[in-house]
Amino acid sequence: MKERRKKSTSAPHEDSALVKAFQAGEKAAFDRLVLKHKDRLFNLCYWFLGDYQEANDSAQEAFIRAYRSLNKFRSESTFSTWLYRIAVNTCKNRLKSLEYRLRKKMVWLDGPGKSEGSNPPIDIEDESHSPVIELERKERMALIRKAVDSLPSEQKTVVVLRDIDGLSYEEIASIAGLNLGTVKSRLARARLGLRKRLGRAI
Amino acid sequence: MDCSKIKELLSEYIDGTLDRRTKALIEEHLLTCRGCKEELDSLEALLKELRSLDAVDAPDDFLEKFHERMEPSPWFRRIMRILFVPWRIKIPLELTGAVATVLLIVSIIHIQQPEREMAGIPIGSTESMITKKITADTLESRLEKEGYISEPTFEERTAKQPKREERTIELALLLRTDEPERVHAPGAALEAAPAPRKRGATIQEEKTYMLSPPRARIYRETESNDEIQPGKLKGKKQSITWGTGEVKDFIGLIGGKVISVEYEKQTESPQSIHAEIPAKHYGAFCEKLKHLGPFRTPPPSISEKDEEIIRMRIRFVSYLNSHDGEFSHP
Repeated sequence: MKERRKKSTSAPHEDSALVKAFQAGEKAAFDRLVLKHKDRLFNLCYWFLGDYQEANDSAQEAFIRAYRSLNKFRSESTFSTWLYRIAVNTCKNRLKSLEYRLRKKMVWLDGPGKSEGSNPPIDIEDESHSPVIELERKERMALIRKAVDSLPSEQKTVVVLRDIDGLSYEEIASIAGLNLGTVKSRLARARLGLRKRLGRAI
Repeated sequence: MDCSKIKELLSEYIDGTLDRRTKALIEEHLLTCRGCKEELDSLEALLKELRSLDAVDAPDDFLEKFHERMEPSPWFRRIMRILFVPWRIKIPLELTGAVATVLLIVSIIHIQQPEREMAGIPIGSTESMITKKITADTLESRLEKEGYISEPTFEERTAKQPKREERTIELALLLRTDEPERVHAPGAALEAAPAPRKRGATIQEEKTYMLSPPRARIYRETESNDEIQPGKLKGKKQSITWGTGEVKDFIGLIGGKVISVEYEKQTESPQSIHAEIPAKHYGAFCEKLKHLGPFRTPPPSISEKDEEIIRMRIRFVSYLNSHDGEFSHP
């Protein structure tokens, strides 16, 4: 599934054509870009923030910012890299915001098991699986989400982009504005952290 | 290379980003080092898990919502929508005024509701409630002036009746007192037979009325300090009290009021009853009194134009001393 998705969004020539059209005045071209990249971007935001509603808000905000600054885009990177960069920054800012941190604190006071914010709707893709398996999958997902959520922001960025989204080191470096070495070391630390947190659950 | 260094590089090893030399070194190490091998295995398992996670897709209306947010001054539009959707129907000007007035009234009432709740007035139809209250107030004040107001004590009530006709009908009732045990039979021999029954009944009635709090209370209030409460009357002193009890009962029955009962100091026997009775029952009342004993002088008849309430004073006179009004102790 991820492979399929990666293919659909990785056609850079298609993106650049749409960008050109937009910059030429065809504002509706942006809709095409939204439809193409929204799911992947949304997923990124979800794993970054650990909350469905927050992810929605962040994703929307990222696209709005992209829309407003697309005319200034000069193709130094691919459109998707540029878009992802906006999304990561948006999510990071959201994480930093006082409101978000307070909410997070409140959640943890209740106890890890209790309120987990909003969750994604039921995935209809895996109808073939039995309900038991589905439940297991959901539980697993929740566990991982919590573990990822507990990582420091810097580590979280790289592990989500790499191990959840499947981007290359270079792409990650470009998006996060880091050099390769930093990406590697952060990633190693993040993976170790996750392993510790998940322990025998995996 | 020691294990800690190896472990640091495992992440890259998995990703295949190590140079050939370093990679070979690690592989060689892994062949013999169990700890590091386990580390590698668990790391691989983690990544596999992360890669296989369900993708969380954007909601279906994502693009739509995006456009909503992109609208110029979206907040303004939203407010407009909320405020004016019901108003899209074109209302003629006159109706608009009426609608506005109604809304104003409704909002005022709505605001007033908490106040009314606090005042303890039930939230019903407000206007009718207000009217009722006003009417009640006016009525109450009017009644107060007239002296008809229902006051907590009976005495107060009776004290406020100056406007009534002052004429009092005085009647003297002749009662036998020589046989205390015996029920005082009315003069007529005809009534001798039912007398015992009457006694029993009356004494019971007496007791009843003494026991029943409201009446007892009322009557107690009408007595002066010198008078003795009915409860204290017993034994041979019941000779006349039974009669007063009956009278009182009857007065109550016809809707009259007992103003006071006078008792003789020494004997604690009732001497007279002051009462007010409705004029329409005057005749019946006199008839009733006759059952207890003959009147010394026949009760006067009243003309119809007399006021509704008649004041009466019924004196209980000893049968034995029929020629004077005094009660003589046997």
